[in-house]
Amino acid sequence: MRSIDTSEVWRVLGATEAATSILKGFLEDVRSSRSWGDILSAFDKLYQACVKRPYSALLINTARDIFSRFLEEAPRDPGEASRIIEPIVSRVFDNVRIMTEQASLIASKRISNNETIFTLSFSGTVLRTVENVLRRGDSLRVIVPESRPFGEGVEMAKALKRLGADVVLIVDSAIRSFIRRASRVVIGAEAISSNGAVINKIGTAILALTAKEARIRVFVVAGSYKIMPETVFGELIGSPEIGLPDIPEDLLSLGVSSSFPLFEAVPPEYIDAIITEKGLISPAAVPYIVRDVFGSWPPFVKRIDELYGEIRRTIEGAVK
Amino acid sequence: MTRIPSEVLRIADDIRSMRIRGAGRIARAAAEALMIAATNYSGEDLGDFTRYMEDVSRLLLSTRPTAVSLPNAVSYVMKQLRKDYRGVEDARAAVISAARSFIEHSKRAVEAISIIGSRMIKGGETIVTHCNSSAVTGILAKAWSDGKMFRVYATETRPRFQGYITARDLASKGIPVTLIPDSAAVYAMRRADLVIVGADAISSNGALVNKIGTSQIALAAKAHGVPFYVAAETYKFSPYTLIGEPIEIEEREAEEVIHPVPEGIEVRNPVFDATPAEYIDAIITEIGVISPEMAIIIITDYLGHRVSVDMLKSLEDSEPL
Repeated sequence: MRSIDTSEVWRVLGATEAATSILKGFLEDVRSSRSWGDILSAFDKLYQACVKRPYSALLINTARDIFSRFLEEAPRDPGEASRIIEPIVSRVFDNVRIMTEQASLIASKRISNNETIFTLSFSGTVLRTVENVLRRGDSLRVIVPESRPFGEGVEMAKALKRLGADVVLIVDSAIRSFIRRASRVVIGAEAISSNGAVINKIGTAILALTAKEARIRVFVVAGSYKIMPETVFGELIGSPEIGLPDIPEDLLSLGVSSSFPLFEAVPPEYIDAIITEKGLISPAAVPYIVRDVFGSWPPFVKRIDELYGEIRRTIEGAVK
Repeated sequence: MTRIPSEVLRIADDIRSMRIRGAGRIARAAAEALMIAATNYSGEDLGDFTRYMEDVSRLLLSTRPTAVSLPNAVSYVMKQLRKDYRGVEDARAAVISAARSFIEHSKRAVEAISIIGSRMIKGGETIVTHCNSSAVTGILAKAWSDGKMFRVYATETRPRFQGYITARDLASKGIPVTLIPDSAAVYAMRRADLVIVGADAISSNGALVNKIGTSQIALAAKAHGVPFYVAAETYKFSPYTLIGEPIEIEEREAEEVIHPVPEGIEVRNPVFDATPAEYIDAIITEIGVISPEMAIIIITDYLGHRVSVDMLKSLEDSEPL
């Protein structure tokens, strides 16, 4: 059940940063590959990372891109494989940077001077948004809950402080007590599904519900690479359940268990707008962005497990 | 004038530092402190005795601002001193007897709530609770010992992890308990059949003041159509709210949340929040199950508090030292 290794950096970083660091590792593995066996084990590591993180849209979308291009180009030797893969990954990095910048710039226009916003967990995209607001010379106050058990909110609070924002840190239970002090909620996303539901860190659903109750608007800022095209065909975005890592021994020996997902879905009716590099849209309009990004509606996408199977067969064939 | 006995000072300190915690336990400790203070008084002058007991009351009332059980316990005992007595001995006896009867009543109240509340559990449910309440664990333990099977989601309850106490109480009786972070309110509600929480105070309009996080759990329960019950002894109902006094939400030190406090970051740590009556399906008291809107009947008819200028006066008298 505890398939997420709690010692890894994944939990503290935002969705984009975490996926980027895995992709960098993949690139290193590919670069140092000497044989088809090395290439295959690099692919295997990337595929396993996707399986462990079914909620990471950037990781899965990029892996799909890499897998399909690799199959299309059909490299003849490991060196050529590496030459094909490198530009795909670096183009992803460039796109992520540009899209994040665009989305955060659009989002920053919706935040005025001296506002108080509410955010949750660690998000590089939200940090960029705040930075854009502060760079105009405006001041901003941000309320952020700590995000038990891993404290992503504490990391976010420190990062926001470093940018020059006023920061208020609270426990996760105090969201409803503080929501009325904010004029809007601005959060990032781990993934966005075709109906406009947003997958983000546990606690986002209660934050969004609380904001709806208080009639405070909820904005999600994310590059369009966070959209999961598989969801068009009914695939659900899963989040493996983990347990609280610091339960006292005596409770465990009494049989007390712990289980919860690190990420959860926020229904589209709790979200007022999704802001991507393509602009500010209603969550119901996500299919419009899907058509734009994938060229058609419904999008033509292959399942990542099928692509991986093809790659295995191709490389194993090449080795023989 | 007799000095406040060290044992009484220790109780006051234990309440303030939360070594004694939970509204029921705080109330019983306060009644006990008044009993000890009365027993230890060595003077002969009735007026002096009254002033001394008022000093002790103020000390006790200054420890925690939110739990209304504390002023209710103190006023239940101190009401005795408004009568006429022949001497210190009679007044002392009246105070001690009132304190004893409060403690007895309080213990019996939890038992009565446990029996009434346990009838509201059919068996087979997934039940969510927040923080730690002896009334709630009493209900669950009674239902379990009656042979009903269910499982409990207990929130860990930051910043002080009172959820661990709940988990320990329930698991030691064999009840399956799953600990979840406080942020998992919506996740839990999608699996829950019932929520039961305790109370620190209930206002005259039926609003519940309880551990921070209670109100968002109640909101999630409402949004998911899950019944939300409160277990509360009648002395948790606040007569002061009837005359417009808001229930003060205590805020504790930042270090409870994070230590050391990161430089330049404002850490806020309110201990309680208010849940509106419309999110509460029922309040289970020792005298019966009521709708939250009937809080008024508990305050006026059962606790017997009258709205009067006298009450305002006694409130001012009980301002913290």
